[in-house]
Amino acid sequence: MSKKLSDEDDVRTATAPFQAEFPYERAEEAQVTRREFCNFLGLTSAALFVATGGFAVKAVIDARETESFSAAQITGAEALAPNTSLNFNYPTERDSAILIKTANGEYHAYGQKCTHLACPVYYSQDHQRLECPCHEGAFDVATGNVLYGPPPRALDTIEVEIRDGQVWATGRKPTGGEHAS
Amino acid sequence: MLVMINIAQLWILAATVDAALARNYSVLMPLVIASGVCLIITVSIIRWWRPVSRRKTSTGYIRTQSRSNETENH
Repeated sequence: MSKKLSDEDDVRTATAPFQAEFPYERAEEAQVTRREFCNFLGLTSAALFVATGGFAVKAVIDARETESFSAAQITGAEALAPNTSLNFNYPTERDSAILIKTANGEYHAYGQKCTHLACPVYYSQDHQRLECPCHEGAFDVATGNVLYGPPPRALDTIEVEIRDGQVWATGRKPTGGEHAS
Repeated sequence: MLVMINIAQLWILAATVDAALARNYSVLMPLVIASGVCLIITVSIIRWWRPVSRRKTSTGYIRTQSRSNETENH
């Protein structure tokens, strides 16, 4: 009694004699062996190690590259009304920052990326604090410290100076931990 | 065991990203070393560990057994 020929709907149980001449054994092809599974986990482990090392190296390189800052004038800051804010970019065009002129006339500037998940923070005039709209975090306008919410650390501080009536950004100080040596 | 090590490495990777963003550079090297130790353990297990019941590689043993069974059935 001949066996039934398999068709496309029955590829996993192909048993016809001519199929033995085909170099692939479908049952074995569909099977993932213990060794193959272990090799896959080994490759995953190697990939995770490479990713960990890559992140660490990139962080150290980035830290060394941003150690020196050149002063830059913040255009339009001198005309800023009290209890308002101004967005600018410092130290590079890719780094957004926010300058706040408080109600008593003091200037404070911070990196605009929230330390939680990098959403841009904004100045809340009603509450006189920096707020993150994504996950309801808030920062103190005078120090950049976390007032409440999920952010794990203070905002990066941008040092500002008044030179001949103009407001200049002179440096950026990360406040999340120690600097790379 | 290997899956558990992979999960641990995933956790180490997450901690590394968090430390890098927080500029907490002193913990980066220990994290990289920990991930490397996990990789070494993983490779060691894959390279040298064998089930007690297997004398050959598991793949060869299974295929030999299945082919011999097919021959017996025919």
